Amino acid sequence: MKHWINLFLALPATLRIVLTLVFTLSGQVSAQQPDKVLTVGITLHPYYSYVANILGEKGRVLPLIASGFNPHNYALNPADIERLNQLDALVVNGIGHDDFAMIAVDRVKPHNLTVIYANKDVPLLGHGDKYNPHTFVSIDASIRQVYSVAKALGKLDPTNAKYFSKNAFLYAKKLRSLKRNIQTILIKKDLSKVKIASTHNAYGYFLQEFGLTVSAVVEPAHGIKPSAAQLQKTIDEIRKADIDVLFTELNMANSYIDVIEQETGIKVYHFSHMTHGEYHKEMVEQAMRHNINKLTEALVYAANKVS
Amino acid sequence: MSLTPVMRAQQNLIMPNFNKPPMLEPVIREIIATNGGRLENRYFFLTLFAVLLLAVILLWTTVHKERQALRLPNQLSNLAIQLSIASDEIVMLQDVGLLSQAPTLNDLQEYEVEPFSSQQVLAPSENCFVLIQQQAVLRLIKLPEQHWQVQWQASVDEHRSAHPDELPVHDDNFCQAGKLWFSAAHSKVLDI
Repeated sequence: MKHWINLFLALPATLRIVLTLVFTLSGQVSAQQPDKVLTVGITLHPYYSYVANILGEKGRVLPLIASGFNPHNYALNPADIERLNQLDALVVNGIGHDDFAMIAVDRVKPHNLTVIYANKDVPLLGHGDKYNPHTFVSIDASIRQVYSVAKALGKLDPTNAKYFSKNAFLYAKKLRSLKRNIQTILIKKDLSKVKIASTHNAYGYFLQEFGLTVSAVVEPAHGIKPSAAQLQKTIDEIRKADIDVLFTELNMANSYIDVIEQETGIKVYHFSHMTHGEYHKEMVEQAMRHNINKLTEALVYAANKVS
Repeated sequence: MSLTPVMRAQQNLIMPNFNKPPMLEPVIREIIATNGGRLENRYFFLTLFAVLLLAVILLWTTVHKERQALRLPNQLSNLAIQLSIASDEIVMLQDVGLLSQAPTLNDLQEYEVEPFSSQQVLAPSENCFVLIQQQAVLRLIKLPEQHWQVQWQASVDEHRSAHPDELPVHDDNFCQAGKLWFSAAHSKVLDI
């Protein structure tokens, strides 16, 4: 026995945490009887991944709207409202990216529905009374939301609370590990003079976790093309501020970006906004990996340019 | 003597006699001196302006200060997010027996809890961790009978905000409950 304890203590701290959590919590979970599983609605693609990873086999995730619609300006139809009534809980962004759901819940007032505000514990970016709702395009803010959602689901289903907690911890660990490569690369680069612009303000949280800030935002609002005059002003500003890289959205055709690229010679990189395509469990990991790879590429280019 | 009933015309049927010349009656006219009007107007507008100015100043100082106080500086958002994550992870590690009820800075660093493994953090007293930044002071604290909370303070004494090395490491003031500490969580701002 002592031999096993010594062996355990010799393991790295993170491995010890994972092993302890897995053994402690899986023992508690297996002793419990299967009960009615939760049906949890979500409004945005990343929330599908969060909830699917937290629930595991102990629940069902139901997107409130079909994939392929822009959640910024979606209006619910009767079928969507019918879906609302089947839910035990609805995970929402609640700070401006899924207003359609907030309006629907307010009007329909479904029985026994618990609204889970994923952002309730997130220290938000913003100005005045306006908050930047793109917390899901960031690893740390995603982890914060995963824990908040897991806690709320645990309150709804106390028998599986520890199981949700364990899943949230393991998922957080998986997401956090995505940052390691870029941190090792960036630690050797001087990024203090790198200047960044983005097409809309979706990447503030993501860039901040790597110590970066956005110097200019091009689009007046998400998906709205700037007018000719605004475009000219943006081109002038990019030239004046000596911006090095521009981040734009992967799944949105922005012809004006080509104009900016040609006129200023700025290098353009595409980030995933995480609100397109099919809903699936691995979506956040895949999109984060893509964004991190693009960010690494962009920063290596920019650091070499300014040095 | 017999009385003959007289039919009286209804009042609304009597037509005015437009042929009658207008009555010439003495009219009293009050002449108001005009030479003070300009001055009065000036006083009136000055008073109005002063009242409005006072109202604007009062609104600006109260509302503006309140908003500023409640708003965590944007530059600290990610650090506050990491501390908030740490609060949940500490509880999880305590639940499975890997951390004591009063974890030390070394414990948190050993288990690679962010931001303790990468930032300079002070631990002035039990269950209280403080990070001094240029814009504000952040703390992760578990007050008696409460959960772990991430709080921040907009301003500290000038000599404290300059550099963490100059700070008294065991300053218990950082770990007291107080009105000057604001919650970094969004729910506390919007009352969700």
